[in-house]
Amino acid sequence: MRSTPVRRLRLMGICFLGALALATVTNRVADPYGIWRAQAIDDAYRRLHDDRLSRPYRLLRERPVTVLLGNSRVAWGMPVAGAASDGVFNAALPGARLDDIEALADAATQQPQVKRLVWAIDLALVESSLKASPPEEVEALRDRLQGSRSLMITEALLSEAALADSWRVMQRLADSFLGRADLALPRTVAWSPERLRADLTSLVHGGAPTRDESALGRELVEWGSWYRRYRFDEGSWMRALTLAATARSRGVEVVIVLLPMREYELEAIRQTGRWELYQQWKRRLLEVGPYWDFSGYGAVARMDELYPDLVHIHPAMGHVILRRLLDEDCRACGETAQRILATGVWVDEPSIDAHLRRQDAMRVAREQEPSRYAEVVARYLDDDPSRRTSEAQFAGP
Amino acid sequence: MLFNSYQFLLVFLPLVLLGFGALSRWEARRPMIGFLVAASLLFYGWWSWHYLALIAFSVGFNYAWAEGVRRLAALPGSGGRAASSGFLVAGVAVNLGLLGYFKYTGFVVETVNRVTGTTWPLPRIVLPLALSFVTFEQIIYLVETGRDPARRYDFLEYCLYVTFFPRLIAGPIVRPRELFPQLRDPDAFRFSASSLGTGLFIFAVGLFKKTVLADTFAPWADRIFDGAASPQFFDAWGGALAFTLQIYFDFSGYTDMAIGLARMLNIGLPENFDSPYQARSMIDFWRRWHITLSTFFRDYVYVPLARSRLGGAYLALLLTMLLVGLWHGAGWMFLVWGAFNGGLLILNTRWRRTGIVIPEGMAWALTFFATVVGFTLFRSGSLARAEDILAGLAGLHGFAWKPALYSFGRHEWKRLLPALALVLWCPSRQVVMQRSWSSDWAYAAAFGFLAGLSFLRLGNPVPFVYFQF
Repeated sequence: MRSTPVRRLRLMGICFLGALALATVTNRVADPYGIWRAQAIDDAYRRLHDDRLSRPYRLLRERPVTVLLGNSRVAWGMPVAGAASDGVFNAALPGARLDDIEALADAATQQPQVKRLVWAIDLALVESSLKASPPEEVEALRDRLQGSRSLMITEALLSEAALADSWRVMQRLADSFLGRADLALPRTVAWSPERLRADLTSLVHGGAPTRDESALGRELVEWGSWYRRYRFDEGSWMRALTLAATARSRGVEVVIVLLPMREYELEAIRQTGRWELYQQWKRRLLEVGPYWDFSGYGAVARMDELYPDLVHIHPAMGHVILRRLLDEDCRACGETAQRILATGVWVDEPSIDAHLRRQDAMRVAREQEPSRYAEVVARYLDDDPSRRTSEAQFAGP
Repeated sequence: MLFNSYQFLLVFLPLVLLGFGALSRWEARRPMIGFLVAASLLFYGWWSWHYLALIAFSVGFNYAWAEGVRRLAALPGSGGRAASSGFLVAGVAVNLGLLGYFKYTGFVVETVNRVTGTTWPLPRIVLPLALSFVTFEQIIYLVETGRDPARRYDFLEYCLYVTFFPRLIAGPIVRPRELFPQLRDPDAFRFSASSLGTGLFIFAVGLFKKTVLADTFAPWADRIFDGAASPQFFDAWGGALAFTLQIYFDFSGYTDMAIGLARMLNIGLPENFDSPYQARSMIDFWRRWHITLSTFFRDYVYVPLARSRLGGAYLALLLTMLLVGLWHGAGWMFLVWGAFNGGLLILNTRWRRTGIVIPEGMAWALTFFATVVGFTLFRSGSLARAEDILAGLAGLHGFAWKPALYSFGRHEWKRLLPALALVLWCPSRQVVMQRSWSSDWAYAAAFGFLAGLSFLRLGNPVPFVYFQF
């Protein structure tokens, strides 16, 4: 056919629209964020790549009964496939700040079927030097929680990032289909006792790969700098109290939990002189309500295999704790699970003093007994300013 | 309204093209110019209506002043010529004063405070978008009017010359002789499928450079330059190269979009980049990088300074490059960057006189290395940070592959290196476009890929680096 400018223009239009159509169809079918209720691919293959984008939409769509809130400690430590497959939805966001949690809690507790919030709190929630989520991101999060169609189109259909995530979902599916790897998450929430027993056994006795010390050191430098400049923010604390009170006034039970901390992190708190502040903070946490505390010194803090890095917990440990929080039996979960569960303390007004005294005693014992945790932390937390990170750099959990 | 935004691509541009198509049927030149001026003002006002008054004042003032220059020059005798020159100098001074007020007041006050220990409050003056480019074009117009008073353009044409939306914000800087003849061409403003197709393709190339390439490298460069840690060798090189690529793709992408948009409206704009990272010397580099700004400074600053015999060509070169640096921003690091480039240009000029020829590969490597170092100075917020990163480039902070959490890893290098290869070895967009495409399908497929992928990245439009200048 003879080349003419008009023909060329038409072909350009066809190719451009064709490219967009191809991307749109791919994103619609693979539905990497689980927004479109696509049935072609099971939710279990959608390990959420962009949680900030997908979780708000799925919180609306999946109509859960229990909603998990928090930051990456929860998002990665208690992964839930298929979101509300057992009525539990993990709405935690990596790097979540109070603004984000408020928006998510508000949207969740306005849903009539939501009966329980499980809120994992840590010191980062009420810290004033930690960079807040950019206002435009919080705004976008709120828009998503209101089900903005235009955002759904631009973020989940006409989006190159979504296309890349679609590709990942399809790769995961293909790998699983070809038997190269089982990449789907278990569909039960919390994970079954058999699964937990197997996972924990393999972690503890199977020689799970541990991170090299230099990687740990890099995190210690970051977190140590952050703990050094930690400033408790009263305003944020009041907002946190309001959040819990609002949820309860809407008839939603609020379960507070402090997740396990690795002894390296506890040592970082102690060696940066924040131990007392941490203890006081735990006391004030009762203003929000009684809570489960898995976070102190104890046997689990030294089980390095249960932590993929400095501050996050392995999902198997997360699901053992989730079983406790959901009042599910875990007697068949194995010995390691029992040790994890034994670490958890129900803290309320009558028990707080004894609990804090126990932790203080353990802290004193740690000070007197040389350990590699204390030694490694001391090495990376030396006072060389060039090794400190700035506020702008620290992303938080 | 950014070129890389949904508002521009889905609403503004289609409406302008529809209006252009409709008016071109009537072959109505003045209504067409009026339409494009109105569209350009709408485009500018989208950011801030407040600055429309400023730009309107600037356009009205300069047009009237140029008329004054023309009339004085037409007076008989040498007195008229002298009065015209004086009037012209005053007009240029008013323009520079306006630019200076908005762009450099804070910098001057801060410097005075630092040097003298005073505590004058820093004024909060926001630099109106595009003021630097608009001022330069109007200075060119005044000077050209002084040189050739017989040439006259009407006010509406002048308005379009200054405000033409494709190049209003960040160039390319256009000279009157490059634009006005086109506005008077009988074929101008005639809808052409060929121009539209070519313009769309050039625009897509620019959009791809900006959204897919520059915006990918930007956070990686930020990570290193805005971080607090002293970067080790690979991190420092990663950050420096990422910024070197970011600024090129960002600005040349903008220029391509501007040229493409103008081409859709049947107007040709001058090229601004010609594969600058393939330059074999610093002189060569400045002939390929931001060409319209370089030639502006060459013709209106360097040449008059060199001819004035105040301090010779080298001093003129150094002063010119200091001004080029200062034009980019009110900050000491921009001055350092300008001085660095001025020094290299002097060195390059002197070296040429020795007659010693460096092998091409080595000449290119030296030039590219100097460019990366120069952009490291340009991007660093302070001299201390620049020293820190330059020390990293030299390996003085160590050679660990992943020394910090915010470092360059395999993921970044896998994307950085192909882009580097693209700018170092591939022909420029101009060269590619000049080749005849034997297959319409290949041309259309290339367009579909570039435009489609770019469109999918419009969700979070990032402003262009040069908007701040």
